[in-house]
Amino acid sequence: MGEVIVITSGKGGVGKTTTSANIGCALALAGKKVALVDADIGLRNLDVVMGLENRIVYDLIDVIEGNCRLKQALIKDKRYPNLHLLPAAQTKDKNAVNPEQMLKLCESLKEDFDYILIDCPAGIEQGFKNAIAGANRAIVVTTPEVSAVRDADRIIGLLEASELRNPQLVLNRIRPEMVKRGDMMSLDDVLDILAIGILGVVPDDESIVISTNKGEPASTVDDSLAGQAFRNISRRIMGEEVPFLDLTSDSGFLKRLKKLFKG
Amino acid sequence: MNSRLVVFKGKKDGINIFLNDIVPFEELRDFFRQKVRGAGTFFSNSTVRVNFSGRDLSDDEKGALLKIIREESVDIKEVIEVPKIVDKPDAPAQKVVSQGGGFSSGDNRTVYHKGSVRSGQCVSHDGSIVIVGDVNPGAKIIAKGNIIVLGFLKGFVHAGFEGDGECFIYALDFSPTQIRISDIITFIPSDRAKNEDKAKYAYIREGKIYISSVML
Repeated sequence: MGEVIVITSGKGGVGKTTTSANIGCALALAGKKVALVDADIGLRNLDVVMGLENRIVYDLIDVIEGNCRLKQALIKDKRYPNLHLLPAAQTKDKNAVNPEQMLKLCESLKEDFDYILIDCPAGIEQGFKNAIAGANRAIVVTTPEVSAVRDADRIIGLLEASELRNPQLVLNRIRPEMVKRGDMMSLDDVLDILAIGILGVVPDDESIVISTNKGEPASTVDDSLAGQAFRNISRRIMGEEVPFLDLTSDSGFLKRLKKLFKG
Repeated sequence: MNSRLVVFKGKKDGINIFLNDIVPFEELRDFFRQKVRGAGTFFSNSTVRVNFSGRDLSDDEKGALLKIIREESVDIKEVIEVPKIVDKPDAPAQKVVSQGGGFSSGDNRTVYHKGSVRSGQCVSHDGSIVIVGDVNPGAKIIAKGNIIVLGFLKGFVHAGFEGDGECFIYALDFSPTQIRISDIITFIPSDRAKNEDKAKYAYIREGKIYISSVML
């Protein structure tokens, strides 16, 4: 029986889709059977980030409306045999699905996969409600900006109200040198407000932009710092204890971050 | 039984109208009309501030009731509806607080809210509120009595919501952007000296809100 994990943030553009793709690939590389579900109906782009756009035949709406079987809609990634993608429909909108249907879909995916990652759309409306309907666990992605943290806080409140307790945080796009100068919120600043468990910190990294444009998630590239961060996150998802930031240490943030990635 | 469908209560700053939430709206509306008609001079001010409680009303329903007051009361010039705190179904905090009876009953015990109040959540109560946790930016705490926050206070708080100027607001880490006590609003500048005491309380003196450090 698999586990359904929703990746959400409230605010748009903080890296939900990138995080979904990277964690999905890293879990698949670690030998787990992974299904990536794009719940952003009408604005699909997980397939683009994964480089699988040209292989879409059926989509999530086709499965829900019964136009095809679930297996037909799942795109098998040839590079990583354990990884499958269920793309969103581009011509419909979020109201084409309801939470009950998503729940049913998640239940049937659970039978065949170890991890089902749901890429949640931005916002707190229908799309969000659909995406969290079948989830057992939630990952909240935020960037160290006040607006993103504010929205993350709102999302955590909504998740808790929907019985998705103990969501975990991924702090994306942090720039250690800016934090050191005091120009950017640090991990501690963010955790002070959100007060939830931290799953990982991902540095701002050019390699993410390059790999996203190529359709090859950074977690599959060895020399990418951000890719390493995502691989560590996926190991933590699998329950491994991966060395983490020493929050009490006086050493510089950069040093601590480097220590994390080496471990 | 019927007489309890609609209850008028005169308050210092207006009229609280308690509405039964079991009967269908149509029945309630008809009874409301009778009651307003029978109230005679109750609404004889030129301006009336009303506040509905006891029942969740849609905007249309609220409009219909306010219209009845306007139609049935001859002397009235203006009806102002006091914005009431609406329980949001997605805010879990509400459940905790509504156990205390919400705004409708005469219950003014202090309620305790355990845990943080997050952005978009609202805790409101007919008495004092103690938050054992943080009040995050974007969160709302509204009390008829005092508000005490045993954590950091960065959200919006309104103490003495129904006009009680004796109320105070206390927080272990007092850094809200705006606070209200009774009907006085204060904006708080965000640039505070770093070594300033964090625990503070706010109160009204001579029509102004004062904020003082507290010795612990």
